[in-house]
Amino acid sequence: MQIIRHPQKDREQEQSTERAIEKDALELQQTLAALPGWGLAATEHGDEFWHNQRTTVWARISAAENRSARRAPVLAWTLAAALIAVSGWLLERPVVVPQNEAYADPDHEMLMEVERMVQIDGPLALEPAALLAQEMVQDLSPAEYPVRKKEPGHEHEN
Amino acid sequence: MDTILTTALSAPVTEKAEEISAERFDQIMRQHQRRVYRVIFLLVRDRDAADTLTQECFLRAYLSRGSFRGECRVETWLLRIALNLVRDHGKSRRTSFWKKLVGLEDKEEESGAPRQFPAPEPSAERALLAREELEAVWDALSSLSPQQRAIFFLRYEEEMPLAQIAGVLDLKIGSVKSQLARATAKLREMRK
Repeated sequence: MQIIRHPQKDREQEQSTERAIEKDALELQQTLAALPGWGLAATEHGDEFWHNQRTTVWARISAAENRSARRAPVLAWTLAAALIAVSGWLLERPVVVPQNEAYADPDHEMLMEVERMVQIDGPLALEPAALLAQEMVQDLSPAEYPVRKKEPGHEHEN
Repeated sequence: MDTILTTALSAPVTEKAEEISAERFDQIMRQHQRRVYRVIFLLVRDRDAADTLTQECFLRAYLSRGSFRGECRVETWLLRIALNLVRDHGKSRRTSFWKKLVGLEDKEEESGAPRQFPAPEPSAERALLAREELEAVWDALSSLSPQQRAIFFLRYEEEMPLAQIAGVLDLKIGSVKSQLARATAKLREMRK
């Protein structure tokens, strides 16, 4: 489904939202005007608090950096050990030759080969087979299908 | 004249990844940590969680500064990380709530409802009053989605242009406007 936007409509809606905010803000003028002052007063702290906060942040930064510096060689060694283990395993495991998983129908293959031989002048050794195949194809042509005659006597044999 | 719906962004302050050294990052942190903390706090309603998530935000920003391509402001990038953390925090809190419900977690802890504020600092009477006012706003907006609440606070508390909000949340401006309209309508309804 395609959403069709109407810029003019969107603009009108935005303007109406702005008007609503201004109207509400006008009614809440006192509260909204006092809000920044309340926020400042409620979070008032002495210089010591801010200094301590900065000191704590730097201490945490330093701890985090030390931690990552300590972890880096451990991580590198772990990675190296894992690489060695994987390469060892790859070298040790027996080489498995992938088998052709495509199923080959031997009859079909043979027929194809024979047909190829019929089309090109194949070696004499294959000629009998080629002729045989040709004969088989001719025998199976619809015009020469043998018409089976019903043997009425057989139905009532048993 | 700038209206409440001003969408124009000021010239984008872009910064390339390779330029963010540790010194520069420290400057960035000094410059933005209050805002990041405030936005997170307004969304999670918990000072301790806001502190932890702010730290996490800068940690992630530092570790992933290589991926920052300078296509947006540093502030937009940081807030995007912050809002993702808030979203994940919400998810884990919900998971924790269900775990508690089925008895997989310590029942002594509170339920999934937002935590109440701890005792205020001694000189913070003004902060306490502000929080009470904010509680009323939070309650009014409680039925909204986290994204609608985020849009509301970014617009009216942080006074952020709509285009920047769209950038932070990876949304279209039209979508930001419609969600903001829902949020303001809800607040107006509740404040009647």
